[in-house]
Amino acid sequence: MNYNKYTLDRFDGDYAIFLKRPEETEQLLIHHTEIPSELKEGDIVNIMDDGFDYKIELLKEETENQKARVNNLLQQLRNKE
Amino acid sequence: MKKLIGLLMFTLLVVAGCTEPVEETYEAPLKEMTVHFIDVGQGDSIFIEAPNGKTMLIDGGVKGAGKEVVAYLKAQGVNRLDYVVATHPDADHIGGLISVLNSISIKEFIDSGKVHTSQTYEEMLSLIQAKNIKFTIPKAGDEFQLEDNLIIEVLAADETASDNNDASIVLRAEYQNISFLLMGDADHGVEQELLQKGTDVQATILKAGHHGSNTSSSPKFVEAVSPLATILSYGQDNKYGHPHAEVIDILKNVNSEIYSTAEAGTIVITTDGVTYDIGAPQWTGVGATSSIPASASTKSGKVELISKDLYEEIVVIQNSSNQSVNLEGWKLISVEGNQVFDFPDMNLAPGKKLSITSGLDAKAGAGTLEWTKRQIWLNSGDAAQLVNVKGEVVSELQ
Repeated sequence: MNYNKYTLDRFDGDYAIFLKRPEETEQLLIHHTEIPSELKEGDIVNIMDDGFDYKIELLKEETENQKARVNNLLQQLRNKE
Repeated sequence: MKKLIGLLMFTLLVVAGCTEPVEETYEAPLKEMTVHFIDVGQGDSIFIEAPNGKTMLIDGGVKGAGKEVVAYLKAQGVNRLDYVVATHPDADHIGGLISVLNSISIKEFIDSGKVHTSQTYEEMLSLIQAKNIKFTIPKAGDEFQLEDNLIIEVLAADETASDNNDASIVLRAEYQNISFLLMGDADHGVEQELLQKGTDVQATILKAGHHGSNTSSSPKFVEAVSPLATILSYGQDNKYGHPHAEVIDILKNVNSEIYSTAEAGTIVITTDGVTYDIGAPQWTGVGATSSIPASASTKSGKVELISKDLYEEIVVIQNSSNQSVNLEGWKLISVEGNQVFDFPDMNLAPGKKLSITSGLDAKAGAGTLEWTKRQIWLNSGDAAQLVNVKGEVVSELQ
């Protein structure tokens, strides 16, 4: 069974909206009761669907790296402001 | 659905000012400006066009909607955008901006400055950098001027907000007596802050926050805005239950008309700064296949066939009247073979074109309907007829 990598894009009402990386055109809505409560917007995760429930694993390091990379990019644009 | 705000204000001023020397306060109509609430399903995309041709695009829907947004803008003759605003980094707002960045030249990009780890947000920033587009993170009080009479003010922006929705750039566009308040996904917290600061939030037209979710549009805030019309930008049958019933009640309590992109498709509002016209039927809440069209759009105006391309299998019709026309019951007929296309329940705004596609490349999108993947038009020559709801042939192309 394969894991797929997702970004937790946002929460909306009862759902967490995950976008499948890297294209992020495919979205996966999971009811908030079915995800680990510590997950936050912006977390990058692996999700495995075994047909019964979702197994979600937080990719802490990748999330931090991505955050740093985007912050850096934003800083570069800001400096040109 | 013309509203004579100016006249009303004039009357009020005359009544209120009877001890003062009577002054002519009636403001003359200006050239028409247009605000398009583009149907991107569950998401936001708003396009503002000033009479002088200056433009602003606010959000672009989800990534999959980007191509449709670009096609819609190109159909309006847009090759260049003066301003593009990403209200906040959620995918249903910035996703479609990737296609826009790739296809249309942009003079200035206005971002909330709220960081997101999504590939989409990174891609957006990378494109802005690669294309060397002027980049701005605005503060409350900043203004963007499209022309002398059309100023768009930033009412709220908070890059330090912990929640993406709270980081939303809230904009108020004012064109003489007509104003638009565009809330992004700003929720109750932002609304309360605006009220506490005493910000002028009154607006003729409100784009309700967060697709009509009950996390936005508190009774106090909606009262302060006192909109004459409210736009709800949501997708049919979304899982979030937007628009929420409480929001509808709150809007009805202030007697606001309600319109939605889910039911009406793209909503085009034109205004001369005194009156405004909404080229769409009002929201009914019974779904896109509603059989209760609003009165303004049922009157039959003049819609004609303006082109047919037998090779590309594209037929274009245009509403050349000055009122919106509901196409339910209308038919497009391929005379050779007598194939009939039945138009869906939709409104064609004044001046707007609609393409009907068939053949292998047929596809639906903004301003485009898919008839069938089959070849309909004989390349050797095939007449097209447009038949109205009464069964009359109103237009024919040989």
